[in-house]
Amino acid sequence: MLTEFRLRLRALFGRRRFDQDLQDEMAFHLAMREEKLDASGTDARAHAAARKEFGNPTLARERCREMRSFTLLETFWQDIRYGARVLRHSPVFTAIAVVTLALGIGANTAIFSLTYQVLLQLLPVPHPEELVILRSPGYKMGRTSSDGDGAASFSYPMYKEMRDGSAKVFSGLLARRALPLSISGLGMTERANGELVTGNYFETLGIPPAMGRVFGPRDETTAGGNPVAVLSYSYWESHLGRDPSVLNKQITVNGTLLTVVGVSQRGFTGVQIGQLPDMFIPVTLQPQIERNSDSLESHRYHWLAVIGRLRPEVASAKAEAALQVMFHPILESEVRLEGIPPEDRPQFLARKLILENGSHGRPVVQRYTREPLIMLTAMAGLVLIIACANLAGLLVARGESRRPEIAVRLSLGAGASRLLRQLLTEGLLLSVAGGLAGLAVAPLILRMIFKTIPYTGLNDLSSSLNVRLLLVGIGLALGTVILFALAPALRLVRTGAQRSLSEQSSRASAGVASIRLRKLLMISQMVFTTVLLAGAGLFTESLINVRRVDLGLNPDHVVQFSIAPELNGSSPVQTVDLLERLRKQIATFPGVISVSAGETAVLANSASSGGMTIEGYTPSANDDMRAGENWVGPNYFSMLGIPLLAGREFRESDTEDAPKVAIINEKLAQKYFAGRDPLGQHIIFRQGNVRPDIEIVGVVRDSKDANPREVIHPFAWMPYTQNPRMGHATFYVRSRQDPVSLSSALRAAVTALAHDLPVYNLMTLDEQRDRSMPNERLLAELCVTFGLLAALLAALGLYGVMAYIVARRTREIGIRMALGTTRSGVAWLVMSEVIRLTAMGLLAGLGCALLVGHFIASQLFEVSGSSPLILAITACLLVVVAFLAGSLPARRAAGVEPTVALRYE
Amino acid sequence: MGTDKSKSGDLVQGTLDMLVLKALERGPMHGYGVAEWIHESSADVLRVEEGALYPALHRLELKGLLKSEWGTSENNRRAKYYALTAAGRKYLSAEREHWGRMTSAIARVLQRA
Repeated sequence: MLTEFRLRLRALFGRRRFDQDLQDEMAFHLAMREEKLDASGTDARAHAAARKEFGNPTLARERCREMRSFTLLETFWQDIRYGARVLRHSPVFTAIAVVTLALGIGANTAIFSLTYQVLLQLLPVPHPEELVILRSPGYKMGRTSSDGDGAASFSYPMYKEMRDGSAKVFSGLLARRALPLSISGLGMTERANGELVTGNYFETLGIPPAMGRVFGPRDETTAGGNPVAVLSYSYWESHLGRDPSVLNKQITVNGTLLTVVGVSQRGFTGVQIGQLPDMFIPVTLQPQIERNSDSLESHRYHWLAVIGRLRPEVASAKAEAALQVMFHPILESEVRLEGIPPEDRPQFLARKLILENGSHGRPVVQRYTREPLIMLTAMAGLVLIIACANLAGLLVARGESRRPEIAVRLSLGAGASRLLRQLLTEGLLLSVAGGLAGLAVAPLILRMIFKTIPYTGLNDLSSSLNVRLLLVGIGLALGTVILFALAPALRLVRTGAQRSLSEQSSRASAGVASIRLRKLLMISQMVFTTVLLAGAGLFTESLINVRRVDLGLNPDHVVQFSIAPELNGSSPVQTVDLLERLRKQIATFPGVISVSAGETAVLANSASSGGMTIEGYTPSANDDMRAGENWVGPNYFSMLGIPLLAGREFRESDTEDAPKVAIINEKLAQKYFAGRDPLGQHIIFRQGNVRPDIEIVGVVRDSKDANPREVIHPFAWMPYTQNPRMGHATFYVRSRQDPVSLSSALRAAVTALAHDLPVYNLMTLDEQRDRSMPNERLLAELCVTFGLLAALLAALGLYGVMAYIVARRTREIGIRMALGTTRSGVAWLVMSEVIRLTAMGLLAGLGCALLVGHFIASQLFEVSGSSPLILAITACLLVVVAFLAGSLPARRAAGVEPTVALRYE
Repeated sequence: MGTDKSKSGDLVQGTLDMLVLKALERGPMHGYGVAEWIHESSADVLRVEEGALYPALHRLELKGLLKSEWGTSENNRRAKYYALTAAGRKYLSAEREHWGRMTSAIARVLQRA
């Protein structure tokens, strides 16, 4: 067996040598025989007879050779070389086909890479399928901190109870919370992403250290103890150049000295997309790290996300049932500890623990990107279908023009299956070329997406492609071409021989079937292009609408930046002092019109709200009295261009010791002060037995707070000088200066006052507004790109099919002209065909667009999915494209010289 | 390329391999020598068609029953010499035994009255 393989290989690679040997061997035989005949003195006739007797030496040689070679492999190689030659000889066809494929496959691979990373990829931990996310919806008391799903937040005492009571169900139950850090001591001061984790975090996830150690139970002992930190591998790599000496070094994190004890495993990026942690810190350090609050003992502060690893033998359904038995007693003791009012107890005790699939990590980003990503995947799919239809059209036309060649080869005895294989090999070559080009294009497209679409939540995604995606891309390419190369090839081989040789004279009728096929492909291309263009129109109008929304404030020429002195150890008093000094300093800059600051940034999808008590107002049963709250500086409203309707702005005299004051928005005034003058009334952001002591001194016009799409709700602002927990702020500076030079001046101003204080979120307010609606931008920009791509492909396709038809009908056109048809009449003949095709494609396409509009309505802002304006624009655009693509062949038809045409062929 | 089966002296399928191996039992030989030896030893009854001989030699070599080497013939020409391998020797004796049993069985059948 081995000998055989070796001999075959030798025959394959030493082919020339092998052939020579064979020939020598046969020649020797013949020579010996002739010598013998000579010796016996036979005449020339006998020589001839001897040679005849030997048989066909070439055949014998051929048989020997076949025996040794990998015939299949060799003919395949032959096919490839032949195919490459054929493709090289028609460079335009090859270029169009490869570019078409590359764009289709590139777009799909890029979008799929995005979708894969966000929606499909499992956490890179052992057995991710065992992970579950704990939720407990329903009534709870106190403050909740969450990223959109309050039911998934638990207090630290409650987490510990659950962890200790659920050992039969979970092999581990961890809790964690992401938070911003300010790290100094490794030669720099900068903001970083931190993660407070329980001692069993790494063990439960199954993440070993890359160096040093990860946390264990001994790192979660007492509040304020365990001053240690584990770095993430990516942080260690990007910031410390994988320096092993970092181990046991001390660094200052948010003003607290921690010892680096290890680096986590390479490739581990935390448990939530968009929250790539740089450093892990034991949860027991929370009071030190989040300086101004102590959350460890509180039963009323729900801030930890809890993730469990189910024991392999426990099914999820059984686990849930078993957990309720453990959970109910915890709730009963919490009634007292959280201080639940008697009337709310039944509600509270009815809470259940729910387990959700945690194999993808915490589904936060996924919640708001799932729909747009699925839509994008569908769009990219449509582009690919259009590209395929185009390619199919090209291959059909090509097949037609090769009919004579195929016929000759068939009648010379080429096997049909061999020919088929040959044609498929050409397709294969095309698809490999297109696929490779597509894969080269995909990372570029992906990088473009990441660059133009500032998804703040997706900053830790990679724009490189992994092996799986590579395979998907190549698979797409192969499938596409094989499918669309096989059908024409089959038809060609089947009908090729009997027809073309005999029918050179009546070629006009030879391609009727293929023309019909190409027209059909053309119409389907039109349909999908219409759908994409209509989608692009809808998303664009939606984006325009979102941008045009009256924000209630004026973002023109405003630059913003954020600082968080609390992370560097500032007390609230020091923070307020710094803010005031900074504000006064910036006001003196040349060109600055006004400057102010607020604790919570506007248009940044962040919000802070609380339950109020209002003087002289008795809440109805279902009113939770919630209102948005923010702590802002003097002249905040005039600075942002929010009109004051009554009363006054905050002033510098509203200091910590001055009477407490607030400014409310119209909504709050209308809802709680109907028919009363709110000025001089009192409110407080607390509920229960409290006396409102904050005096309302002003009312301002409603404005958007979190993002342009939100519905405005009641809101109250207070001076940051009166905020007992002021720790961070975002500044707003309106100026006549160019934003770039202003930015560096602002940075310098911060550094001058606090040299190691990182500045972040530095950008114009316009940019911030755009960032607050990434879905709208992603969908609009990509859909427009895809729509234009589709239109381009459709134009190419239409041009191709019409040019082909004109070429086929040259003779007929000549006859018509000879019989008196005018040139414009001939052009009309072609254009009427274009119009027919376009009309059919457009009608069907608009129908589909209406359907699709219905499905994407959830992502549209103040646009109807069946907007007649958009549909009309789409139709016009498509008609223009069709006209342009069709007019070239029409002109060529009109330019036909009857005398030439009649001699044609 | 189909061989004419009715022609006398044609070899039964499979027996050619055996004869080739037998020819080489005495020592290495080139293709022409094999053909001549078979022709002479069979008293001119069996004639090996060269168009079949060389494919057979190559096939046996591929199976590992023969090995080949380029050498010089008795009249100083470059020639390819084939030789039996151990596997070839074993194969030959097995085939010879099988053949013996077959022919005697066939003879018995034909002699039966």
